[in-house]
Amino acid sequence: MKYFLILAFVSLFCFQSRAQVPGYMGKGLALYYNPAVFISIYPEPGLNLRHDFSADYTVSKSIAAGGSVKLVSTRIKDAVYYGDYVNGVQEIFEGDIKLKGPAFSVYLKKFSFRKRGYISPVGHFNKFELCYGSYTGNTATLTQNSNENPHIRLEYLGFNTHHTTAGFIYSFGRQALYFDRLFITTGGSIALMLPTGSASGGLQGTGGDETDYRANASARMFGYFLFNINLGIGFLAL
Amino acid sequence: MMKCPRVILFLFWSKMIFAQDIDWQHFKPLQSAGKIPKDFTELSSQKYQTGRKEIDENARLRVRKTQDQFFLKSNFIIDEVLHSGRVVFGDPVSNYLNTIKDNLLEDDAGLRSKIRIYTYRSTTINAFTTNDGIVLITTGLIAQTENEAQLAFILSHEFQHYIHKHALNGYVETRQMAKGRGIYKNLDPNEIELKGFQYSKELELASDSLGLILFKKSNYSTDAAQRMFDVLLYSYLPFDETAFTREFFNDEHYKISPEYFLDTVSAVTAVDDYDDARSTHPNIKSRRSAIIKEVNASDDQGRQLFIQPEEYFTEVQKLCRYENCILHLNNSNFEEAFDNAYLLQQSDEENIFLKKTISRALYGAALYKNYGHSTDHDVYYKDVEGEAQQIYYLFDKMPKKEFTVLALRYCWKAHLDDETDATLIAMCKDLATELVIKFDLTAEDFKDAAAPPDTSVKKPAQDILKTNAGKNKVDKIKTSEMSRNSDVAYWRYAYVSFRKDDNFNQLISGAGSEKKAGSGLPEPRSKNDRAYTLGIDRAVIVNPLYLKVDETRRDPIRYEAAEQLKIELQQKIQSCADALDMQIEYLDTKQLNDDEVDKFNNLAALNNWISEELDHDDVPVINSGNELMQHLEAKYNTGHFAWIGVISFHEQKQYVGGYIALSFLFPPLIPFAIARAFIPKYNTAIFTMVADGTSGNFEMQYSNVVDSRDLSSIQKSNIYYIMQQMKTKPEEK
Repeated sequence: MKYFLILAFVSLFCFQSRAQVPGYMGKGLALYYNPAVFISIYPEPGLNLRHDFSADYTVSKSIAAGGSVKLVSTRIKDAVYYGDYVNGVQEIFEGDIKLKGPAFSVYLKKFSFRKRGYISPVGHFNKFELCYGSYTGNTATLTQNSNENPHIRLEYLGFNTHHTTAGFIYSFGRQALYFDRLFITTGGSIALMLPTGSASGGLQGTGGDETDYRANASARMFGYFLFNINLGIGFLAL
Repeated sequence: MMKCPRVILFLFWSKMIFAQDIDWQHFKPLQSAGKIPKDFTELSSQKYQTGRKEIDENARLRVRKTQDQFFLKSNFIIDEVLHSGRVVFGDPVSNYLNTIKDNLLEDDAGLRSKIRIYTYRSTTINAFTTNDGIVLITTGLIAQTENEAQLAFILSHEFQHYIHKHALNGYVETRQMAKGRGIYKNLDPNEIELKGFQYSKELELASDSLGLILFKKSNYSTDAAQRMFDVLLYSYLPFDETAFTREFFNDEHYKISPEYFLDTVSAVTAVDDYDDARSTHPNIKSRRSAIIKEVNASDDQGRQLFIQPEEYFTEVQKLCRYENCILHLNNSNFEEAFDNAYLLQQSDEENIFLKKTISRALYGAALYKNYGHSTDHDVYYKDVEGEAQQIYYLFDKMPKKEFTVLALRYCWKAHLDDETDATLIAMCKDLATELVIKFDLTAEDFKDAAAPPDTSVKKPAQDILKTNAGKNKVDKIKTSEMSRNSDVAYWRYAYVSFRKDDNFNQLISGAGSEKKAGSGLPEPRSKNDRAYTLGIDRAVIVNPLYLKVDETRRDPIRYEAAEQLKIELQQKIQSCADALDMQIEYLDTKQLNDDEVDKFNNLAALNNWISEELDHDDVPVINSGNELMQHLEAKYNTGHFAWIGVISFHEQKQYVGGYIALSFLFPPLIPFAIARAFIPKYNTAIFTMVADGTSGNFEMQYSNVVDSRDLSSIQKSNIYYIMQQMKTKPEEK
C-alpha cells in the first residue's frame, strides 16, 4: 500500500505541473543514483554506504518534487543477546547483525532562485525529505568463545528482528548538468530517523533482549542516517 | 587621360550624395545605403589579429605588449561604436565628406583608399580617427561649420592622426605614464596627469600644422581654416543666435506670463586663451597661433570656400541640423531639441517636422516635470549663455501644470496641421490625461471666450514689493499661488481657439471619463520579477550581448572570449526557440552580408529606440522612434523585439589574507577561511527586454543574476525560461 501511496504522490506533482514550468529546456523529469556515504567511527573505522535511487519532476521554476528508494544496509557489531536457560545452561547469541531493508521517501527540492538565481533542475538546492523505512536484522558473523561460562551458542536470534523507522532528512547540494542530459550531484545531508511503532508491541522472548536489540538497531539506524555526503549521477529524462 | 576617371567619379558622387530628394516635411533619420563596408561586418577578433601584424617586433617586450593591448581594446571598442546605430555609411553626409577627402587626397591614391569616412549621428562637436583609418565626423560638428573648406581642414587634421599613428603612440605613451616608466619615473600623479594632457595637446598641434600642409595642396581657402577655430570656440552655443520671445506661444487670447521670461540673457563669454592645462586639446589661441604663420604666408587669392557646388554643403548642413533635432529628442535633451527646431523654423516656419519636434520637446519635458524625473545631462539655465538661455529658463521656471497646458496647446495646434499623425494624437491624449488626472482640471477650468485681463504685463519690481509689504513668507507664497490659479490666470485662456472643436472637447472629456473608470495615467513601468505571459509565437532577437569580465586578470574585460561566446549564445537561443516551437529572426550586425544594408538600418533604428527608452526610465513618454518600430513590425511580421544578453563576472577576492589570519584566532573557522580564499566567486547575469512595436513599450523586462560561472546549462535554463514566458499565452479571463 505504501508503495502505491508514494507513487501516487509523485504522480500527483507530475500531472498537476502546468505548461509554464520551464524545467531544463522543457524537460523536468530526472532520474538519479545518489549514494550517501560517510565515514563510520563506531564500532570500527569504515564507510557507511546507502544506495539511493530517486526521481523528481520540476513543478515550478524553483521546485522539484519526487521520491526515492534507499537501500539500507548496516550492521550491529559484536552484539550479545541472552536467550533462555535450557537445563541450567544459558543460550547466548554473539556476533554481528546485518540490518537490511528498503526505505522510501518523498521530497521537495527547492532551488535557490530568488537568492542565487538557479532554475530547477540546475544549481544549488535544499532538499526536504520525509522518509519511512523498514529493516530486518539477520545474523551475520558469529563471534567465537567470548563468553567464558558454559552456554549454548545461538546461531539465530529468537525474536522478531523486523522494525521500522521514519524521519526527516534535510539535504543541500548542487546539480550541474553536462551535455544537456547528465547530472553530477554533490552535497550533504542531515537526518533524524526515529523508531516507529510501540516500544513494547510485538516483543517476544524474555529478559529484555529483544528490547535491547530494538534499541541497538534504532541507534544504529539513527547514526547511519545522521550525517552523509552525497555524490551521484543523474539523467535528465523527459 | 588620368583625370578622366576622377571626373567620372566626381559626377558619380555628385549623383550619389542626393540620390533622392529629401522630404523635409517628413524628415527621417539618416540611413546607411549601399554595400555594408567590411569595417562593420568583420569580427573584432579578426581585426585584432590583423592589427597585431603592425606590432613593432624590434620594440622592447613591454612596448610590444602594450601595443598588443591597444589593438585588442581599440578594435573591440571601436566596433561597439560602429554597431551602436549611430554610425552611418553611404548616406548623403558621408558621401559628401568622402568627396572632400577625394579633393584633399587627389594625388595620394594609396591614402585615399585607406581612409574611410563615416557620419557619426551625434550632437557633440567632434571628429575621431582610428588607428586603421576610420574617420568619424559628428552631425553636431557639421551643423556648426560654415563651409566646405572648414570641413576640409577638419578632415586634413584627422588624416594626420591616422598617418602618424597618433592613437597607437598615444596609448603606448599613456601606459608609460601610468606605470611611471622612462621619463615619467619619480613624477607625482598630478605631474603625470599634466604630462598626459601636454602630450595629447602636442599631437593635436602637430595634426593642425601637418594638416594645414595637406590642406594647402588643395584649392580650399586657407582663411576658412583659420576661421574654423572661431567656429570651434563658439561651438558650445547653438548653431545660430536668434532671440526667443514669448510671442512664439502667444495669440490674442493666450498670453504667457512674462515671469517665465528673462529681461536679458547672459552674454557669451567665450575667450580663446582659456586654461587648457587639463585639456586634451590646446586652447583656440594656441591652435590659431600654431598655424597663423603658415596661413598668412599663403595667398588666399583664387582659393575657394566651396569646390563642390555650395548647395551641396547647404543641403548637407541642413540635413545634419534636422538630424540633430531627432538626436536631441533621442537623448531627451528637450530644451536643445526645442531650440534647434526653433532656429530651423526661422527659415521654414511652416515645416511640420519642426513643429512635431517642438511638440515632442514640450511633451517630453512636461512628462519629465510631472514625474519628477531629470536626465543625466540636465543643464541649469544659469550655465547657459546667449539666446538659448531663454528657453532653458522657460522650461525650468514654468510650473508643471502650466507647462502641461502649454504643451497640450502646442501639440494640438501641430495636430491640426497634420491630422494623420498618430503620434501627435497620442501625445495630446497623454497630456490631456495628465491635466485631468494629475492636476484635477476639467473643461470648465478653461475659458472659452473673452479676452484675458491684462496679465501679460510684467509688474515692476517696486509694485511687487509694495503688494507684499508687511506679509510674511507663507502669506507671500500663498498669494503667489492664488494669483497663479485665479479665475483670470493666463493659462485658462490656452484653449479658447479649440473650445469649439468637438475633437478637442472629446479629448478632455475622454480623459475625464477614464478618470471616473479608475484608469487614465499611464502606469509607471513594472520592474518586478513576476512571470510574464506574452503569447508570442514569433520574435526578432536584436544584437544579443555577451560581456565577460574577469576581475582577477590585469585586463578584466575578456573581449575575444566574449565574441566567441556571443556566437554560441545565438546557437543557444536558437535551440531554446526550437524546443518551444517559436519562430525567431536574428538581427546581429556582425552576421550580416554586405548586401543587407536594410537590416543594418533596422538594427540602428532598434538600437536608438532602446537607448531612448532606457533613458526615459519610468516616465511613460512616447518614444521618438515608435513610428520606425511600427514600420519594422510590418516588415518582420511581428511586433516583438527582444534584446537578450549575458554578463559574466569573475570577482576578485578581497581581504583573503585577513580572513585566514583572523581564522587562526578561532581555529574551527580555518576551513571556511581557506574555502573563501580559494573557491572562486562567479556571477552570471542573464537579462532580456522585449519591446512591443505596436504600443512602443517594453512588455517584458527580466533579469536573473545566478551565483555561478557562465555554464552552458545555466545560460540555457535561463534563456529557455525567458523564451517560455514570451511564448506562454495569457490565461483567458
